[in-house]
Amino acid sequence: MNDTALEHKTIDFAICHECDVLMRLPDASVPSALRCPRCSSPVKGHGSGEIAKPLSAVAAGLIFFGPANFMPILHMSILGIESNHTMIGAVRVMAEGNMVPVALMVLFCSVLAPFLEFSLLGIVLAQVALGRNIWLLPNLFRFYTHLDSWAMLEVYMIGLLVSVIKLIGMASVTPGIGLVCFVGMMLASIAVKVTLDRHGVWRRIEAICNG
Amino acid sequence: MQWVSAKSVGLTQCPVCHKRLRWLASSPNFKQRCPRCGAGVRQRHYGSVGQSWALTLTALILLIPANLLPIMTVSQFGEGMPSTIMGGVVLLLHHGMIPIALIVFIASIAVPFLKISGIFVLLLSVQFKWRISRRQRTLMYRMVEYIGKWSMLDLFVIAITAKLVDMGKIASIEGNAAAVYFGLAVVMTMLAAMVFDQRLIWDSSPTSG
Repeated sequence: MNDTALEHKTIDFAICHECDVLMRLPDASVPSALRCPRCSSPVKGHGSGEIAKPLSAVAAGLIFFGPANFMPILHMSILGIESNHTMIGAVRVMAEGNMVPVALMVLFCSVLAPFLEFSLLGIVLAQVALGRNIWLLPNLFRFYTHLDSWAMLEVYMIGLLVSVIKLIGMASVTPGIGLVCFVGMMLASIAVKVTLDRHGVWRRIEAICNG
Repeated sequence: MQWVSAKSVGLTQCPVCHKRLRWLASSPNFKQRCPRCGAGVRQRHYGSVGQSWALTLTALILLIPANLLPIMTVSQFGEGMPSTIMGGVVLLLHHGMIPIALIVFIASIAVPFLKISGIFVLLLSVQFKWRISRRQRTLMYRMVEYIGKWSMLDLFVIAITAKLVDMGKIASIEGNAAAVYFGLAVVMTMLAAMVFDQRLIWDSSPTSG
């Protein structure tokens, strides 16, 4: 069998991302929840690349981002002395205490990566919705996909919980306005992940770039 | 059931945007560009097993000082009490906070070691063509990849409590050297899972099953 014949024969086959097997996808009418028949990993079908839902979640995330990072998330008092926790403040305290590598890791995973994710995705989705081919559009979206493993807002949320419980015996800890914004930002980032159809967005980017 | 891998029919896909591509060359070191997203594409990550070994072993070595050195110091009225990771868990147990001790134990001791042994098993099984269920190994890889970031919990807790309890002589919490080693170890295990090409698990497979 020559190459062209082979390619023609496998043209409507999808490739599993996890085990590289060729498989035939059912029609577009079938909703998600497809699984690879060989390794049973989830497979994305033919989504349309919806923009509105993930874009609104991104907007919500960006609105919450400022107050979540700069306003006090927790208040504490010991013997009448007040102190509070902000995300930026935690990074600063680490850096001042000769823990610069830790400060950088915390800064990247809890502040920079989520911010870059929201802003890159905001730019990409807005441009795709407008059908504009801006400079480096595919590269921006590619960069976004690489950031995914490094944004750890959910882990930070559990970190807050563990910290509060650890300190309960030592002092009284109360939530601040920043906590509401932080939870909002975390829920927004989860909503982005749930609603974003990456393959669909890639197909739309391809269509835009090819004119 | 007959399975056909994309590699065996000269196809491949972009690792980033998953575009289906025709594989253009046969030398293992060749790299082509994805026309859609511009990522470098290879049929299998080049040097995946070697890189993953290097990163996993680095993580294992880093975990030694991470567990032996003190990770944080709690000071009250000028008296400092440095504690290791395990020491912190034991302290929580003493205070009767069993669920939280369990969370900290899982996130900072169990997960890093399970992750490293998981990657070890995957690497050994690929290198020596062990006949363990491929489906289960894929599942294990997925779990290793998913739990990776949860080990950062301990670093976040140190940063949060250090910021909250920052009252000079009266009370203060600060991070110690082990935190740096621990953080680096977590990053190494995450990278080790990322560079491991899980398709290798299925490559040695006979065409059936």
